[in-house]
Amino acid sequence: MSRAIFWVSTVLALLFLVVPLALVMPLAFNGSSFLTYPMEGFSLKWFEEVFTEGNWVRAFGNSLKVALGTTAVALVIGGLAATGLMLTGRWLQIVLTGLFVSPMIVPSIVIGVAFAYSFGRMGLSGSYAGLVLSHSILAAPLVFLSILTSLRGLDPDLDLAAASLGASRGQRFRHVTLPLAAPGFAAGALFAFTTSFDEVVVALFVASPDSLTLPVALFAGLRDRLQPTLVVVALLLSLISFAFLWLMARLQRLNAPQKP
Amino acid sequence: MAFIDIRTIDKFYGSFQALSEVSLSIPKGAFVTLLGPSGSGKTTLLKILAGFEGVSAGQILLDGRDITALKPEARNFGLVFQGYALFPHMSVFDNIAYPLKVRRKGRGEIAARVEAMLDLVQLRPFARRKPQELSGGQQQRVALARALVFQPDLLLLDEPMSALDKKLRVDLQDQLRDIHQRLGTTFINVTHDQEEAMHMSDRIAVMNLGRIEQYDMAHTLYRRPASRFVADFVGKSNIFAGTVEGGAFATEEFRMALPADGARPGAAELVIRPEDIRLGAAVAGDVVLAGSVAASTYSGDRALYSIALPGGRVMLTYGSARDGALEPGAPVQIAFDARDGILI
Ligand SMILES: Nc1ncnc2c1ncn2[C@@H]1O[C@H](COP(=O)(O)OP(=O)(O)O)[C@@H](O)[C@H]1O
Ligand SMILES: [Mg+2]
Repeated sequence: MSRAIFWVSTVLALLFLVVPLALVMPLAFNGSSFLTYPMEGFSLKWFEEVFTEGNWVRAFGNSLKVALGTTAVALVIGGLAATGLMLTGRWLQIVLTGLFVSPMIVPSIVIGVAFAYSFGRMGLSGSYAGLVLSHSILAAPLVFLSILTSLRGLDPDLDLAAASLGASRGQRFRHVTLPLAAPGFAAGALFAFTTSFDEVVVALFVASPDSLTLPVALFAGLRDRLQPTLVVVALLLSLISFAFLWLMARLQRLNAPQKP
Repeated sequence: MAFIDIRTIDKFYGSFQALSEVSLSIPKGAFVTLLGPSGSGKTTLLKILAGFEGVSAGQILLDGRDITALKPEARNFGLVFQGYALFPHMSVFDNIAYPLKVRRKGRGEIAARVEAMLDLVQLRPFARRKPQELSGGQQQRVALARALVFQPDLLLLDEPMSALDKKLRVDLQDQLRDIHQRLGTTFINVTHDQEEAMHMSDRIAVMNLGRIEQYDMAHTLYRRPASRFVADFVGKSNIFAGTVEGGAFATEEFRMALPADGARPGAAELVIRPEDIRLGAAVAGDVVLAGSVAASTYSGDRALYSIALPGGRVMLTYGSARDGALEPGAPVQIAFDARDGILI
């Protein structure tokens, strides 16, 4: 009986999540220029249009640049925060953890407004650097948490052992801590990349027409012209996200303790 | 002059005192064991020696030089951890080579010294394996090789045998003693196993509640324990509480003349080792008591008996077991010479 309830609720939940996507996705291959059923023939022309039209390509390029920049900046901030935190006492750890993850709690629209305002005064409005900085604030807590989890899982005796063998603090970090916590750093990097890559709210406030990212372009297109190109872009975005999800799962398997 | 001089160390964790006035002097090349029950402060003392913990008061001198505030990486002490703490991402070879790498030795020298260590601990065929692919005893030997390869001034071992089974433990004790003799490095070993301590060490420091109760050779510790705790913890013993009065020791069960006249009058305890008790036979001048067998543990070569005395006290003694052990309930007579007793 309880098994039946389990399966019914699982299937219902999946339907709820998947059906809207499954209904929209085929429209990417629609022969006509409307986002409606019934479809009028099968065509790849909308894909062609997306790949050849300058706006979409530029937006994709912008997104990629911003996401890579965010990954780099968030890894450094989150990595330093997590590594430093491990060296402090228990109470300071609790306080600092709260501070470092606070951007996850603040609504992103508040962060967007705050950045739009302060970047305007600093002359960073609409710049690539501004986008990277604001996305890094959103991504750093995720990087911080995944690296912290990795570091907490390390046997503290390994660091002591390396010290007793003559390794300085820097050598210990490079030779012992970093290689053993590497899966945490990799997972953090993936989190940072995906966070930035499909972020809309803050980018809406901070991006200019020149530094438009893909999700923002999609959002703008939705108001402009309802065309199958939008679905094509949405499909491509989803595929990239799926690829990252898959990578993350692979990493987690690597990270799991190996049985000898 | 002592090689390692530990001078009146106190260690507080908050208001809890983990070490009180611990002093030890250790000659160069000695094998010293810190022996005590769990929680007696052995690991704390070892961590202070390794430099992982500071002291609340006191000093550590190495060859007359104060090293109390020196960082662990600057001490040049080898350390074998209770859980071995091998680097899981490095091969056996790379684990052992690590201390030489951070000392920027040449490749040729590293290879030669690591291989010499691999031979010493008989692990040459396993050089390319990862630590997870070794048995507990092999991992322990890798940890030992890694802690010795850089020729440390002192080797510290924190209960290195505690995770191994009994048979392996005895083998490794022999190997460890052998390696100590070959290298001549000063060893400080920590254990709660008194047999291990007796088997391997030149000198034993018995610890209890953060203090050193006695620091002596195994034989002295066993025959002349300085306190009831030591008598009880090291070896098996029968302890009688009583009083010294007029050159004699008296308890509920018996009264005996004391051989030496140095004993101070007042409350005292008398320790009789089980092997000093004669079962069924007595020699003139012996204290003789009657009782009955309460329990026996047969171990092939001999039997350990618990003998119940009429007052309710239970005495431990050994008996020959060639014809099997005595039955529980059998009446027996036990006897011992007052001169074999240890008054504390
Ligand atoms: N970091 C610490 N903080 C507080 N108390 C500690 C700490 N380390 C050890 N202790 C206490 O000090 C005492 C001695 O511990 P330890 O040296 O580990 O004993 P042993 O190694 O002899 O079993 C124990 O009561 C333990 O609880
Ligand atoms: Mg301990």
